[in-house]
Amino acid sequence: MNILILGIGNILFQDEGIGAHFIHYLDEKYEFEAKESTVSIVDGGTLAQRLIPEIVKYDEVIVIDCIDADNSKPGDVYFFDYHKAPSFINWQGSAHEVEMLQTLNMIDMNKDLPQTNVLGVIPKRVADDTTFELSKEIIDAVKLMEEVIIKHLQKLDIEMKIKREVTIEEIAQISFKRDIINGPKI
Amino acid sequence: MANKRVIVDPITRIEGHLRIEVEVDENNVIQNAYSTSTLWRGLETIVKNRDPRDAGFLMQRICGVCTFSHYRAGIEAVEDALGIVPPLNAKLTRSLMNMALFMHDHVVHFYHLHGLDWVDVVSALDADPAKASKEAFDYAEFPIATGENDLKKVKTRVKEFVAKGQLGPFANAYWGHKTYRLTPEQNLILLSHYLKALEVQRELAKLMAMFGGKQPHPQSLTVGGVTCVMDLLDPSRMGEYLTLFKVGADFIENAYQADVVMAAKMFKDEPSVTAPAGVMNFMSHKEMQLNRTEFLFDSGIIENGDLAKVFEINEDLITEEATHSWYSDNEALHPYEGKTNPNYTGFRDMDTVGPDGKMIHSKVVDEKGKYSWIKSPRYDGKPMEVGPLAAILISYAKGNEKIVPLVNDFLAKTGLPKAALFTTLGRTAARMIQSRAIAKHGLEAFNTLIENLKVDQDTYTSYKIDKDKEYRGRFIGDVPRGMLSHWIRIKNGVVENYQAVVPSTWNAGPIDSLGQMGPYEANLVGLKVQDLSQPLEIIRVIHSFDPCIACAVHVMDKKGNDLGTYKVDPIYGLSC
Repeated sequence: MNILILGIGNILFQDEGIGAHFIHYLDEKYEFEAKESTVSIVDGGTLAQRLIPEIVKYDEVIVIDCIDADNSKPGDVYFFDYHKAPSFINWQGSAHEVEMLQTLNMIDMNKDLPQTNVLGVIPKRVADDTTFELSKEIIDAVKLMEEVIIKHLQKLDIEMKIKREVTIEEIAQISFKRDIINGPKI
Repeated sequence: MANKRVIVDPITRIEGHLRIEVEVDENNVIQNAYSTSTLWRGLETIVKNRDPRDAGFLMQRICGVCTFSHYRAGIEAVEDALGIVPPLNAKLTRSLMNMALFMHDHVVHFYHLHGLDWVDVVSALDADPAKASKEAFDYAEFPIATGENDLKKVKTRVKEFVAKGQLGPFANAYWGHKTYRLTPEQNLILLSHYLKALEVQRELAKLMAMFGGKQPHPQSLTVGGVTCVMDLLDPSRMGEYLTLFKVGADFIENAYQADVVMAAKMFKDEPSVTAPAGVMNFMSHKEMQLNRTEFLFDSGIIENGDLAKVFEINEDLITEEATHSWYSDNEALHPYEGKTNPNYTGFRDMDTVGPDGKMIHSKVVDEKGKYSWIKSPRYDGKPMEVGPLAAILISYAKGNEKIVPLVNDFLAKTGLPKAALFTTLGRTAARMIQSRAIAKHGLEAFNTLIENLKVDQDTYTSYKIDKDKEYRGRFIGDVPRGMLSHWIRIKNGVVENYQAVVPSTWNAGPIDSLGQMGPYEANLVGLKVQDLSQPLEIIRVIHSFDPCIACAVHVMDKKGNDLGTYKVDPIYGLSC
């Protein structure tokens, strides 16, 4: 089985880049040991539709992104199957944005969306500065996000072994130019 | 009766946060319009004091749609500053990547971002596939995905989609709006192409990635040249470019071109898309290098809609001011001297027309003060429209022999006069004409590259950055949404100042100190809105510019859903 871990987010917007930073973090910290499967890690930035050719190649996809949900607070972590999650997407009149959910929706329309799970986290909006700093809430959420990924990959018969301790803060400074070690395998 | 205010927010079907507020009189005619970006873009601050060679990598993160454009601009601005001329192979490779970007962007824009402003999906479900299949031959020699069976399948597929409740992109639009003009059969043809375009855009996305070295976020452009040498010397790689290019070119000719002609014929009596453009000044920069000396599109400026004279661009006359933008320095400054110090003054309270037509309490822009994160770029003090329409008009006015026949062909097929080009309809058509020009002539760059590689395999020009010297340079070029420029100053070996003047700034900027509106605002004034609770006319006008307010807040919007069951509990782990 070919598995894609896809990080989504705009790294110029602090917490909103967490999806992208987080996959660099996993890539730096862990080795992925699998008997029969492959794990590919991709920093999807905010490319939306342009990621379609990449996404459809895999059997299983884990999308990591910021989400909005009712009754939530920054740092809350969610994990759900794209198909099992409520299907309603807020497309705001006829003026909406094409981003990750819509992209998945478009692949679904073409009937070749792989099994897709979403690991979402609620960002803290730090509006008026442009730096690579993250909020404490999101930094604290990383541990839980990590556990979710470890458990989920375990189910898919993949072991994650620590090769080097790093922090998400360190990674966030270099994500924009860092080479991914576990890049696309297919 | 006093004017009423209507808010459309967000209006982009794509990256970024754009909000439009309009004031209508008792006849629903727009008297005033305010275009505002509600998102701070501090890109200029993040590159300061960094290695100039990193600028391109940071710039490409500005936005998911324009990523290649800003990457290239970030690289080429530094090259200009350091006085580097990359080898021809590098220039042509960048040109090929750029063509792929334009083809992808324009197709996606017409079908997936703008298409539903013209196509009534619900009406398509009543169409007769046999009749529609026949009609498709009126517009294309070899129609795509419009066989009777294809169209039957599309109807079934969309009906299924609707029945499942997963409307996705078809949810919440203004179906049945009076200003839709296509017949059910025509709507069905376009709907079929909407779905086909989902497939074609994948191929075009691959085409874009071909020479990127890495996908996503290409890394093959570097200050001095390109690094994808192995790809250029690999015949199968080059062959793949050719094949995918032709897939795109075929779709552009036999679907996109055909559909825009069909829509233009049907909408030519619809005043909301045929009113004259609000700003009649147009500016574009030469783009798409085809060989050693020639570019597909020309540089220049047209003033007051006069196609008889094209002025050359004097870069010194470009300024940005912030009288009505949330920055502290109001004065008009050349981008080399540009300042980006935020001064957010917020919104004010007012009653506006809500989604159901009733008045509701809202926050609205303070139009007398500051009201947008976008600055107001001006050329010689005047507002300019940039984008495919500007590129096509300027090349047309200059007698560009590759562009003139395509414009004339469109006018002949639709029976429209030249004046029709200066409209919302013309803007949407110009994007198609630009795509068609690339589809028809783009491979000249490919052939030149192949020929040149036989005798010259240089892809890189070496250089040194002297820490004791000061440099400044810029990139100016046309990208899918219009003229883009990046301006850089380098001191002590690091970035001293950086300014990006993006196309959507030219088009979407607020009024300037003289009260002159930019194209978005000016194009809305005078527009009549049939139904204030369904402002499709406003959306159609604004979407014709392909708004992309460079920078996205990327949050999956699952609001209103019961996501609680999927919350991961920190102590007990996964709850699902």
